[in-house]
Amino acid sequence: MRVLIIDDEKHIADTLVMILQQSGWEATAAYDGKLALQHVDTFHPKVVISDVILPGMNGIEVCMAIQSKYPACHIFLFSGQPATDELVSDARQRGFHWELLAKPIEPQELLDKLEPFATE
Amino acid sequence: MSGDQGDSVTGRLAAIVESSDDAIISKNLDGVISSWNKSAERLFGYTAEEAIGQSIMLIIPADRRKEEESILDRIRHGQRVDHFETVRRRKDGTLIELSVTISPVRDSTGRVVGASKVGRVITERRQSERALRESEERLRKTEKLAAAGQLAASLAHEINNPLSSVTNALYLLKTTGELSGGAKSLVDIASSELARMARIVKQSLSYYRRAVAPTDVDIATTVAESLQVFSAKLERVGIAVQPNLIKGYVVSGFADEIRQIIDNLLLNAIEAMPDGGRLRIEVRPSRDWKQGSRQGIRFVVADTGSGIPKNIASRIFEPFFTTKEEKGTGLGLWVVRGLVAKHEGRIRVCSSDRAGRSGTVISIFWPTVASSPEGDAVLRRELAV
Repeated sequence: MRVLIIDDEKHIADTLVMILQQSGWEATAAYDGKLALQHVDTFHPKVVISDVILPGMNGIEVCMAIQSKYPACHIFLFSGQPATDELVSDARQRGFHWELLAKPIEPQELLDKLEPFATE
Repeated sequence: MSGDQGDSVTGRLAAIVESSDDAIISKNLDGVISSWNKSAERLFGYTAEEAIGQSIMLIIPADRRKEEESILDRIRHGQRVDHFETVRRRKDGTLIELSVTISPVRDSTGRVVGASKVGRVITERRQSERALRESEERLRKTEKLAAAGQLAASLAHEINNPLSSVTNALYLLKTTGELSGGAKSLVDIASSELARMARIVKQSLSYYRRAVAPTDVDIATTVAESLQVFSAKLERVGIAVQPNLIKGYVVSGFADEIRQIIDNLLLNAIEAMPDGGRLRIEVRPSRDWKQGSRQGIRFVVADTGSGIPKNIASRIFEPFFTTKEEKGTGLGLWVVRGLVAKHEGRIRVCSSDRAGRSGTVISIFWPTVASSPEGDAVLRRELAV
């Protein structure tokens, strides 16, 4: 299974990539929205985990673009601040129902969440 | 001036005094009342007949007698007392707040022979001033809470990112399989302490939400949902729940915050009874115990746990104060109090740690917001049934 992590916090993105790789999945990181959109076309991830607040395009805009292009892609958002609630509910009103994970998420919890997609 | 003219001037002046909206009283230097106009009759409840010839102490409350002596003293020296705010007593014993101006009355030779006293009711003005002061105080408090919340939120955000990286790094350390037994247990300690930090941040964060419009929240339904979530735990610990939830009463508020209040209190009660006990839960219409005219809903959580020792009772609402050692964040009740205040509610704690009859009862009052709260609550209940 291929997983794309989008986070401008490099330490978070890189350690998550390592955790996912350790579990036997292919994973790669993008540190901003523009890079993420480029990666998606070549990497074809099954799952995208994106931070909400990103420099330039925010995570919601990036994921909307990804979802429109790849409807089968599973998207998770993660965020460390409550101000993102509004952005997420905006997305919901436009028909995008993504789960919002609160930072910090326990790695094991995240792996458990992703496991069903690997066997899908 | 001829006698006729003099009489007519005096008559006109008397008519003005009589028809004035202000209470106008005169007295001699011994404090004996010598005139008493219609407004004074209305204001104090004594007729002119009853008042004239009596001491002015008739309308002066016992604790203000000294005040009158010093006023008379100033009058004897020919001085005025201008717009002096004080309290006087009516015939029926009730007190009224007045602004009085007292001026010396002189005879034709200029000698001070008495005083005239003009009084105007200020009770209403005082009340509106007090209401204004109270609403300003409330606003300041709300602003303070909001500022604390904003601070917590921005701090939380700053902290959540590094917390994520360290959580991930520790997980990787632990799972690479290259650590010795001792090193591994140190990483375990670091992980669990980090998880504790994350809980603290999460709880302070939930204290602050961006304002969205409040909605109608049915307290009893929310409590029932919360009890459902805790049901397995309640059963495991051996706690008998005695619920009395009257459904259909709503308050205007933020559902997730009200849920957080309820969850926090239920969890505290459960943790106070590790060896089982009884948990009484009530939701019912009620009145504010401090301001009886306010109607609303009361939520009561009563446990038969160990109780709160007297020496810490005053500290339970302090942030970071906990009796649960590493399990607690010390933010639960602090957050509860903040959220209750935000909903303009009240919280009351009664507790006893006396062996054999120990326990804690926490009551929360939420006001219903409609102009006729009772009618509104009843109406909504009927609609909901």
